Amino acid sequence: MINWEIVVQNFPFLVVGILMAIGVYTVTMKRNLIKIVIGVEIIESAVNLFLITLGYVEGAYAPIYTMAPKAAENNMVLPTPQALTLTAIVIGLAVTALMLALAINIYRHYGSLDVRVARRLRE
Amino acid sequence: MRKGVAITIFFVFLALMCYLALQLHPFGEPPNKDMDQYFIDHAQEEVSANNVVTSIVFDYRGFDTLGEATVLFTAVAGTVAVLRSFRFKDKLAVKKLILMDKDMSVIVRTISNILAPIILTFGLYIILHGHLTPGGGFQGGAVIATGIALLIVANAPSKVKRMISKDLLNAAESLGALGFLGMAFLGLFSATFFFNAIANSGFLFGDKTPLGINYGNLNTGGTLPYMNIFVGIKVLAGLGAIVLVLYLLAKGGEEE
Amino acid sequence: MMDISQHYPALIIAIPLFAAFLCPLFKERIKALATLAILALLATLIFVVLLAGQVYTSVAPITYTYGSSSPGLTLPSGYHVPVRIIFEIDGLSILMALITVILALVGAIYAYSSIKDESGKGKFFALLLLLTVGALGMVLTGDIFNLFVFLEISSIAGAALVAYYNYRGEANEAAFKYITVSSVGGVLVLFAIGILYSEYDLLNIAALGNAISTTGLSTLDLFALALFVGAFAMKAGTFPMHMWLPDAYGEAPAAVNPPLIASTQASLYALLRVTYIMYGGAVFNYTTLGWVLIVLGVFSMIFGVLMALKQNDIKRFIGYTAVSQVGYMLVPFGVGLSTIGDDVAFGTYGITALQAGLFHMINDAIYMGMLFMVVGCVYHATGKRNMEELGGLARNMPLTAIFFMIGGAAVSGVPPFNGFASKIMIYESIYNFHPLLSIIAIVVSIITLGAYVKAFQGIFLGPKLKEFENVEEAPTSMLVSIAVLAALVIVFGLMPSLVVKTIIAPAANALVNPYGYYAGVLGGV
Repeated sequence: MINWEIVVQNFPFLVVGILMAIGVYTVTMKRNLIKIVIGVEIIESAVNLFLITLGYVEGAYAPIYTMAPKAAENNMVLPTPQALTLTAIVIGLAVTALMLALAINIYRHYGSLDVRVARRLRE
Repeated sequence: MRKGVAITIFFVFLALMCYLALQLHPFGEPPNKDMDQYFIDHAQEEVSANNVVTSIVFDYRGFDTLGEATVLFTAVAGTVAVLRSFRFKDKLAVKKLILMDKDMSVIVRTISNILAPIILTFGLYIILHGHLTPGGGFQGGAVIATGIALLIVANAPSKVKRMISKDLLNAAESLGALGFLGMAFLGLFSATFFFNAIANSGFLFGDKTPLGINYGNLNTGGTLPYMNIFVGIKVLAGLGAIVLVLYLLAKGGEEE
Repeated sequence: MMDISQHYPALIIAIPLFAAFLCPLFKERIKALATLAILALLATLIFVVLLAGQVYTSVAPITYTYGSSSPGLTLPSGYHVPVRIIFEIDGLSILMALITVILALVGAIYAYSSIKDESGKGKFFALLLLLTVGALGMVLTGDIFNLFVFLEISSIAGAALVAYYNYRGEANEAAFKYITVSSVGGVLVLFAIGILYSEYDLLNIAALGNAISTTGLSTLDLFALALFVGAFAMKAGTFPMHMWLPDAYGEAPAAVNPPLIASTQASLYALLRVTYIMYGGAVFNYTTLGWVLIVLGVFSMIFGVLMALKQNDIKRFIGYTAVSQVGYMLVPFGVGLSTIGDDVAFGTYGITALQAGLFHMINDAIYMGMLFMVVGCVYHATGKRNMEELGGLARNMPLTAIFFMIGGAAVSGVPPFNGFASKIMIYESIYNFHPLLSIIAIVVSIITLGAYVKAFQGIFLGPKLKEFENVEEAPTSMLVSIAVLAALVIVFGLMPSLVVKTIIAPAANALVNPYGYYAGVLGGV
């Protein structure tokens, strides 16, 4: 029923899927603000991993010409996902910094990091 | 009941993701390579850089990098703005954070004083050689910011406030960002925004790169080394500002 | 000398960005900061208007390629895919850009008075300009990864601005909710971009659309479409993921509300761009997607107005009516999407539904921005936000009261204001699709009118309260910015057909012409 060969070969993509599921579970179900931030971080890392694994070409070398081995002439991995991941990592850092700053402020105001306490904005 | 809902959501999501993973192309054999083949073939003659990834980041998709530098600028401005000091108008009990104005021990301070210049040099090397070896402005800037964070954490808050001024970090960040934008404007005069006007000309960093595998000439790259330097300054000032603000807040100091 | 008329798209992004990088250097000098911001936004407005002139007089969308030797050179010599980042501007993009710049300018003028007594003014103006740049970049770009980067810029700047009054615990909480929802939406978009990239090795919207239409839809494409629709709907404030919208709009400083509304509508624009244009060339079952949008829209309409009736805080009240108005935009877009396959139905009411939805987007941004600024004036003058504690302010603040009346009438769709013009188009076009939808829309409008009458009575009418003896009328700059938007409300209401013909119809035509969009980049494929 399941083609086990594909499961073994696409293992990195399965890892990405598992990480995404863990991250989504953490963001939706956890009560501590810091754990929610960690959940967002896990989802970001999963997507970054996904982008990098997209560009892999089997048996190829890094796309750099400086002192590369001779076999790397026409045999390079795709360079674009690496550039996209670079941008995505910086964006993830920016979001985490701002979320942590807001969590610090919420702690200064309410004295607790529990989402249920910091819920003055109900209906 | 709540646990039940959570577990169901988790497994449904997991099943979806696994189904997706099996539908994707086999790992290691991408079906299409048109755009990337162009980059690999033409990066050396058009951008005169050996590192294809850096040439994509700063030349072919340079506008995304401008967006990324802007995101970092926004995050630093936002974090500093959100953490500025305020008076409590509420009557809720608030945990006051204690003021501890002590250095770390002699061992820590000595090692950090030795390591900091080494880290600085390493970071500068990564920034400057971004177009030849893996690296570039963002990576090198983050390394130098680590060195700055080491110095900040190892010393007492009052000493840190004296040695590292927030205005300098602010000015350095704006300078880096404006410099990057200025390099992009250079292309506006002859062609379009972000055109690599210095590549293959005679100017500083304007040599041609020999095609194929070579030993790497620092004097190549066109606008790439300039952009790397400006972005490096910006990243180290921005990350340094975030670390400084969080450290001073944790140790009980007041900001502007 | 260079021919500046070719470089408008680049300058529209570069000028506010330049001003934003300069702002933190000015520390707290409000006059210098406000002048810098207003001048930069005025220059951007002039360039947007000039670019609009170019777009409306040319047949194909205007393209601008970053880094190539000439702006129109989208494909490198002899190659068949674009490799650089390309801005592609058609009628829809320029409409959104116009409204974004006008709202940002109005917000900057308002901010001159409203944040005079706060700290951190340099950072405030920098973040305001960056929010504008984010929204502008999102609507002008033709590259899907660039869209993601600008989406994140506007999310982070927006969240930092929502938490600007950091001495209020609720503001921090609202900002945390906003940034969590935005960043999860953002990474889902990035995931979808990755899936599309893995199949086609392309990042340009036109090239991707062309590739999808030639090779047909696969399971991966549908998966990516579902992720895109979910993430952009989440960011645009649709039910059931709308919880952040009243909180964020309610806690943001009033000067920030207009650009924040513009950036939320930019997410709705992104949804339209992906569904109508990127997937528009392929053949699939539009009716299902259309019905999804219609159902979400109806729930937003009903839920928003019912929650609004319970509110006492004036800004959250307007925030919930904003959720209801998002529903009014989604329903006609869903109707239009459902009729794309069927030419006869499309000709009679489908195109009118699209025009109605776009017109309502513009009008909603204008009158919502105005209402938030009006209640910001009330807060600035009295320091109170609760309707039960206010009353009798009409004598001290007559102009503010009149503007609130105009805004409330516009939201409820009362003639002769702009709300009526767009709502009547919506009622007509969706009646042809299914009469029940039209009836629900009219009933919700009536309830909205009732809610605003009650709010007006609570704030402005009634006996004069002792603590408000010395309350003055709002400062001039605030009134100027509100007056600009009020003028637009009245003009759009009195001359709707002119507005529809000049700026709305080209946008609607651009939406249903995906092949024209592809040809703009790929050159007559």
